Amino acid sequence: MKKVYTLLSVLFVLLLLTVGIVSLFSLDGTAQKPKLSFSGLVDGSYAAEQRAYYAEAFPQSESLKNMNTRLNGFYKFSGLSGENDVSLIIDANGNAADHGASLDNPQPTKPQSSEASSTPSSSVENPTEPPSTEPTQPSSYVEDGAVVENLGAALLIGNRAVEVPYADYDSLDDYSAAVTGIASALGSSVRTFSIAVPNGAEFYTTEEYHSGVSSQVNMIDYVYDKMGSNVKTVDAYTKLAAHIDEYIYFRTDHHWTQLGAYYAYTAFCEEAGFKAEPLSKFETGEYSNFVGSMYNFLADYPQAQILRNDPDTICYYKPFVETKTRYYPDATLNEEYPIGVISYVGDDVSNKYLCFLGGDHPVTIIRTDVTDGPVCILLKESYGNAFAPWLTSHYSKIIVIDPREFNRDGKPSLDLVAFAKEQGVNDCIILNYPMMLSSDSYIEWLNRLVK
Amino acid sequence: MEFSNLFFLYIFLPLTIAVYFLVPQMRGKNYVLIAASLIFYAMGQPYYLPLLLLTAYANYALAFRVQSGSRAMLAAAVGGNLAILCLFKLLGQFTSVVLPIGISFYTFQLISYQVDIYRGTTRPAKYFSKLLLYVSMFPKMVMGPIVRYEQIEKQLDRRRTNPKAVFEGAVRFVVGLAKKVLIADYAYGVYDQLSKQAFGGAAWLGALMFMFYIYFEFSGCTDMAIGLGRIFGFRYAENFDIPYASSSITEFWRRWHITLGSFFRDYVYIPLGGNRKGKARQILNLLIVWALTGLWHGTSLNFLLWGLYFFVLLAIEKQLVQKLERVPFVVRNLVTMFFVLIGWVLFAHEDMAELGNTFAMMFGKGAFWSSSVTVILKNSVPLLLLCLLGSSVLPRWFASLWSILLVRQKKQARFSLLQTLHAVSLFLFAALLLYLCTASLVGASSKPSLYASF
Repeated sequence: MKKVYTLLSVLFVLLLLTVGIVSLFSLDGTAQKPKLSFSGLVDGSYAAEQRAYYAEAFPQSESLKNMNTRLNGFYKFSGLSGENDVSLIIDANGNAADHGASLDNPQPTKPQSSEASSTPSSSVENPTEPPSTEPTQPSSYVEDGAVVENLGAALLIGNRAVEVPYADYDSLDDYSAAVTGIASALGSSVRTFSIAVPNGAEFYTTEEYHSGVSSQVNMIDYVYDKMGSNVKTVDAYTKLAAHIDEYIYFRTDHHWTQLGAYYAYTAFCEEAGFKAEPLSKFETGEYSNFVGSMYNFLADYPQAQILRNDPDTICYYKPFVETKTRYYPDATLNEEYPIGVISYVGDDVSNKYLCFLGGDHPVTIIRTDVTDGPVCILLKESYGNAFAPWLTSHYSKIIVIDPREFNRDGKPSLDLVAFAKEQGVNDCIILNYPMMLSSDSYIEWLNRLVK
Repeated sequence: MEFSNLFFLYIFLPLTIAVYFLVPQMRGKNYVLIAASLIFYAMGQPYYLPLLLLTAYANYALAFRVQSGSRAMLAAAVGGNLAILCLFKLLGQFTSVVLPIGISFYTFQLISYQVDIYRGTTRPAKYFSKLLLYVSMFPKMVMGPIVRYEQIEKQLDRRRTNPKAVFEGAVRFVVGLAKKVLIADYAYGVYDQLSKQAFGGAAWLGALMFMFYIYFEFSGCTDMAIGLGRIFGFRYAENFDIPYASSSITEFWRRWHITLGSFFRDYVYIPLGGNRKGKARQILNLLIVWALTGLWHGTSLNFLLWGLYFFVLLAIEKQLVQKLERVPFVVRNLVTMFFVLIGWVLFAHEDMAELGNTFAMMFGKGAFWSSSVTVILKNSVPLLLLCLLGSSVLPRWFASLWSILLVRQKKQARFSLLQTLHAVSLFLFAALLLYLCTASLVGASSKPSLYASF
């Protein structure tokens, strides 16, 4: 018997040792190795980073991944739920739908000659390759040392997944103050608009998930009420609410569709004094088989297969005016890359929401042939990407800015007031979806634009 | 460093075991263990390594003076250890200073070392390396159990490599790992999720999940410690004995964190006079013990309240002991668990406002239930069943089933075949658990252990 125990004990250690040695030879090369430093050695952070690196780079065989999904299926059991019930509910924290950024790998256009013009038609029809180095989607909203924020829950209801926001009234106050602060800093010569828009959870969930602290209409009313009189607030909510039987939100992605953005645009036009262009004026196209960020977020749970099996379709509307669009890694505008208002996304790109402006960039400028049209800045997260194309009918220049890409570690700086003056800006539109209204990080980045 | 971590599991541990068994002499093995333990410590908090070494050395040197029967020296030794512990607990409470890993465990072990020497039940370690090994030994460094020097003094010098013990230790380690990774971490996730729901039902369900979390977390870590100890030839004291199957608070505390309870009994309660100096003095002694038990976990008010809460419960229970015996076991168990659960609510919330709000929700403030709580409950049905079964007596019954069968077959020719079958089935079970734990650890980073901060 002694021999059996010896054999099994040796087998046990060999098993651990073999996995250890094999893993070291097949570590995932994409994981970032920690840098050795004296302070890191002394304060223990180097060893902690090494362990984290090993865990991240640990070879994930298909079998391990599948087993993890099965475990999640066990620990998030949904066998007692009906077909159209909420079958899964998990926390939506800083890692959820990346607070507005898509979870997919950045895959918009490759930097090309700045001479290349991208007219609406060419940008859609001429495929461009994915970039290798350019800043595009923030890979993670949570930066080193930042606190992971709990902003709500993610839930799967029937064949739709949504983010349910929780109102944090202190943060909502701060959001209002940040928008008012931007309006004050820009001065009375620039009209500042706030467009706070709901997401799909407001319209396609049972009452509990859009009432009380999760009531998005209350959140929007609250932030609007708290904003100064120098901010023009846009009631996009009512317009969207009137069209909920249309395809205005994706089911597998946390964004709205371009049609949803259109209804917000009509509300904006009423407030801004423009005549909204009818949908019929726009040429349309489709990208099918779109399985978006909510699926990615829930992909480790077997219940999410329902999303994969029932993908979304993106219907895009091309501007009818001539456009020339460039994106810039910083606000100096020295380096520019062409992109389409509506870009081509190939079958290999799973995050097809990137077709709008090619995803998030620090600065994107759309120049149109609208003669004598005003100039606007659109401060936005990714919800703004589907909205910006609608503005092309009215503005000669639309400067799209992602506040998450400025004034923090490793990011360029931007003085919004000086920049707006330089660009001759007439309107500033601040558009956000509810997860941003309570996000202290996002609010901080809005504030930093004018500090 | 956590045990439930891929680096520990697949790099640190097998390397340490391999080197340990390749080194021939016991002295050499001990040096391997010391080196591994210091590296283990340095991988977490290298800056506190000098504190650990200095504390160990000071105790090593003082012990010889304590042995001479000097009360002053004993007071200096115990006071010194307590002062270091209190200093860091207070600094941790009021400043951003991080608590040294394992300090609550190793200072208590050193106190027991000095007191036992003073009492003459053990002798000072002849060599510093022996005491250092006792203090720093990585299997029990972070989360205990509180192993007394006199219990393992002989094992430090002489211990035989017993293949059965090594094998059983490995299985015990993996079972502990599974308790932490496959139950405690998931239970904590549900608790965390429920704690964001402002409903009474969510607060109750959350308290239940916390109750399971803390049991599987702490007992899992103890299993890992005991298992690792067994691999290296040590026998550490048991720390848990199916506490949630208790039918009284007194019994619960005989089964929960046993080494801490027995420490306070032997080094505080009895020296203060225990029950030998009259009723009033006994109550005072109990009050002191329970206040200290609470404060050992942290200097926040909630821990003190938690300790005093059990003092009150135990005082009441002592008065009712005869009446309670007539109540059926199931009822006594459920009532006991109700009070234990309330205790865990006190334990879980260091923020007093948050604690008050949780109790208010549990006892009537606001709405009680919501459909999201229903979904979370439905999602957690298998986990809840796993927790209930896992914390009951069933796993122990199941484990002993084989042993009973084997005993019956002892005189039969099939005995060794069955024994082999038993060992192989245990091995396969452990391998399966290891695979599941790896899948879970790869899928999501494991939560740090709560007791590692004590």
